[in-house]
Amino acid sequence: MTRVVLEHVTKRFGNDVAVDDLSLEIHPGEFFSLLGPSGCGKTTTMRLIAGLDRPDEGRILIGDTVVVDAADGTFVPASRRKLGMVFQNYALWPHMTVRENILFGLEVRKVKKADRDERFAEVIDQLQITNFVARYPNELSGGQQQRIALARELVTGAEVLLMDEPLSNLDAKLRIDMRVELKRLHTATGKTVIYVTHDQVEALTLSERMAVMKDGEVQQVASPDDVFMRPANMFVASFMGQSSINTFEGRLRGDGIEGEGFSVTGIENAQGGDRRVIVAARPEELRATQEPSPASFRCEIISVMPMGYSTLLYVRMLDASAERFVTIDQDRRDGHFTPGDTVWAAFDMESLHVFDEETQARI
Amino acid sequence: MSQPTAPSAPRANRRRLRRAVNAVKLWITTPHRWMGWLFLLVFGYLILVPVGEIILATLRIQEGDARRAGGAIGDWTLYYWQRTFTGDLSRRIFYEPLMNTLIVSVGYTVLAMTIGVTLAWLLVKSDIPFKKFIGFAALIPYIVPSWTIALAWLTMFGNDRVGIGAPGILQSVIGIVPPDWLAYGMFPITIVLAINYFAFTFLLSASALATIDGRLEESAELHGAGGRRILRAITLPLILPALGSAFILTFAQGIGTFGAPAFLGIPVRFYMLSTQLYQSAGIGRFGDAFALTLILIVMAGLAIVMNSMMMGRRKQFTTMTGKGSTHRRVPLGRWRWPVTIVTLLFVSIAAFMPITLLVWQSLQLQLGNFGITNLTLTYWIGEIDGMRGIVADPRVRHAAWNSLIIGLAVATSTALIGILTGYVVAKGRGSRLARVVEQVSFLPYVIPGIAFGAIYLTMFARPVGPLPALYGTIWIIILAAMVNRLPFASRTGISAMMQIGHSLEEAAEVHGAGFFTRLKRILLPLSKRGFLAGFILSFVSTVKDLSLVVLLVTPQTMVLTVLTFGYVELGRRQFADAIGVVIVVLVLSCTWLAQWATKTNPLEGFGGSNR
Repeated sequence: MTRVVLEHVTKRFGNDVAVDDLSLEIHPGEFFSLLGPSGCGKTTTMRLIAGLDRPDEGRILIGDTVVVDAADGTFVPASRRKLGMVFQNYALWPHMTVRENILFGLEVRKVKKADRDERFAEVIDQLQITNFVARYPNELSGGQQQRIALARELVTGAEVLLMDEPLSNLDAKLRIDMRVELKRLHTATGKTVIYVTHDQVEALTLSERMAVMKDGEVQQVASPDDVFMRPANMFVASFMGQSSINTFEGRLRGDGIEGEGFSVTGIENAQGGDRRVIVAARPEELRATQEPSPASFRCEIISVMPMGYSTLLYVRMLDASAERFVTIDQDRRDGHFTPGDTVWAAFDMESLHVFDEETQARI
Repeated sequence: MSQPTAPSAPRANRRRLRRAVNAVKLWITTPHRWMGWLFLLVFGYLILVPVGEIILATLRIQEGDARRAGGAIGDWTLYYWQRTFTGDLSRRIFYEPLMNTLIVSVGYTVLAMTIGVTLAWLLVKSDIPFKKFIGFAALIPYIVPSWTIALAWLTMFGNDRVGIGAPGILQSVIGIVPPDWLAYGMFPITIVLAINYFAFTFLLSASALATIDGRLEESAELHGAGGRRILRAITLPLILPALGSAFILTFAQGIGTFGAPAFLGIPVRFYMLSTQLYQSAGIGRFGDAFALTLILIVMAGLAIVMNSMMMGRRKQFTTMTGKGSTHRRVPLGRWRWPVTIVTLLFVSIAAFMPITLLVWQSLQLQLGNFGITNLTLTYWIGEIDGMRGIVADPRVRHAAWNSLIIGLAVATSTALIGILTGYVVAKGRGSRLARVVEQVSFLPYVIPGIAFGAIYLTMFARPVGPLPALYGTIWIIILAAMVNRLPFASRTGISAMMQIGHSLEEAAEVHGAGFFTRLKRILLPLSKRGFLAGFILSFVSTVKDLSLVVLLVTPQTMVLTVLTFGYVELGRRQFADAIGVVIVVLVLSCTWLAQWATKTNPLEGFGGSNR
């Protein structure tokens, strides 16, 4: 059980700041995800932890050891950090058999032969790859290669496992199976896992805590539930969720918000007086009804797109001065809608996201 | 006031010390950086310093010239440049060789281009039969050293009117005495070099032709264009930049070539820059030799600069995507068989005639007598006039041993340096250090072999820096050949290393492998094909090289090629031919071995393995 701590870490590539004054504490034994769009610095952060890149500022601790400190030039190279790392493309050595791949780390670290064999037997059993050990990586399917890559990291007994988009090269079904497998392995081994992904479903399903990143900065560190239900700012709100979030401009007065064609009341934490705000609601956080209700607005259905369990409604706000379109993800059991109908779209006050327009922060 | 700062001073010192220690540690554990700097230092020392030295040498009075130049040894002078450009002898020692070099080079380049492009078109675009055989045979004259072709030329067209010349087949068998212009001098040199280099232009233009998107030609056909029209309006303009580049590279390759001009030119006092340089160095006029050396370097350098400008412009042809899916085969129609026969005849003669002639002549008891009764194995295994056949002659054995040792040493070191240079460049991709290392490793490309020999001859004649005087040892030859091979080796290494994904090495690093473990267990095994190809090709080109070593060898460090040269000067052609045959067989089998081992055509990747 080892913790990983980043303190004010900055990494630049030329004039680009890849990671900007980033501080994180990853608890021992935790499954922690770094989530963000491509180019947000998540992979760079992981490479800094691994020792494959060197930060320009700040320091990183693994356990209680300072592995890098830009202030005094301390740098423990990757080969001495005793980490495990699963690469996006698996990075299996094509000239070695599966067995040689898995045993490489133990040989390099001069683990005794008996010990090696024991750990090897254990890990191939754990990952159910006993049948492949004599083959070469290019003779294996993507899913099998993924397992070998995992086995190669688990066998070394590293306390901290880094995973860089390990599932992104698998097809959709296999990815779900491997997610279950990863969760199981994490529970069974109790290792600290740092998991980089751009796939929010992976991050949400696997992590105990996660950091959402953008432009080299952490936007929010929280549990998956909190990140999803209480996004810290406008970016996190729009990044999380399957389809684009609907946004409405308005003005916060007291505990109510007045906007173009809608109004809501009963906003919590509304201190700080009058200001311009953004109300955000994911399509599934809106609901179309035939009758008006508090916190709802009138609109006309433009198109209806059935998606199986739910139906996407694309609607136009009727009481807004400019043309405004909104997407609603409606439970299909709520009845039948036809284009041209006038309906009321209601906010779900439980999950309403309100952000300060200026600071973009949650209110 | 000073009270609070006093105790912190030692602490600040400790901190500074720790920073320094950490910086050193980091330096050591980042091998691609320190190796980059190391290579830069070593390459700079072995390439730039010598060039600088000879620039200086042409500006200072050399030993033996003090009285003529009117000053003391070491004085600054423009004597040599004046002699070269405006002196009484400038016509003989510079302008004539320059003109000869230019005429011969343009001549053989045009010829080689004509043959090479035609062949490339026939093989890539037409329905000519026997493609495999033609492609195979066409490469042979490029693999064998040019001086063996020159020797074969003399066997065919030589006459006994010039110096040590012996009658060739034409005179001896048919009874026509070939005029001197056919036997020696400009004409045969041009033809021999064209035969030697047409495969190079063939390879370059074939790969350009193969990347043309077939749909471009098809759509021209749909617009009603006929075969010749398509060739003129679509195909040729598309590959024109590539052809321009092929022209320049071919030209640059042969400017400094020594073997053919020496064998075919010197007997009739036809000098090119390379042979004139050799001549000047031979009579101890190093100032003149160095001036010519620099002129050769500048010429080759200009050609390379022109080429990179050309290649830069080539990028505008974005249609050459390499996705040329459908390969149109232009039917040759009623010309098919005539063209096939001419092509087969030509490549067969170019490929097999020289070696056949060499074998034949090596078996002649009396030189120039082509009768059956004159055949003998004396020059191979016998003894004549107190000289033993090449198999038994200790001098030949000694030279063969030297050639082998030098070849192996050069092959091993360049293959390794090539891979490590590749590592520095691939790992530091985008960094300035990597770029500079790559560029510097390419510099020897513009230094013709004979010029290189001249440079190293003086540079290492006396102890320099950490190195003792190397002249007279095989180290000077190994060093020169190594640096001469560097551009090809580093190119091979770079492309091999670029193909290995970063993550493969990083995965090993995370697993606790230090640099040397990664090199041994991951990088070398993964690049072994490139390593092997680089190794064999380095070996081959070192063993067959004459230009580079001719100025550097001494009796103690004699190698096979120079021994051959010596035999020709003595009029003992049969010995030279026998050794030539051995070298040709060795060179061909090694190249095919490399081809087989790497399952590719190793010549294609490195267009100029034959300098």
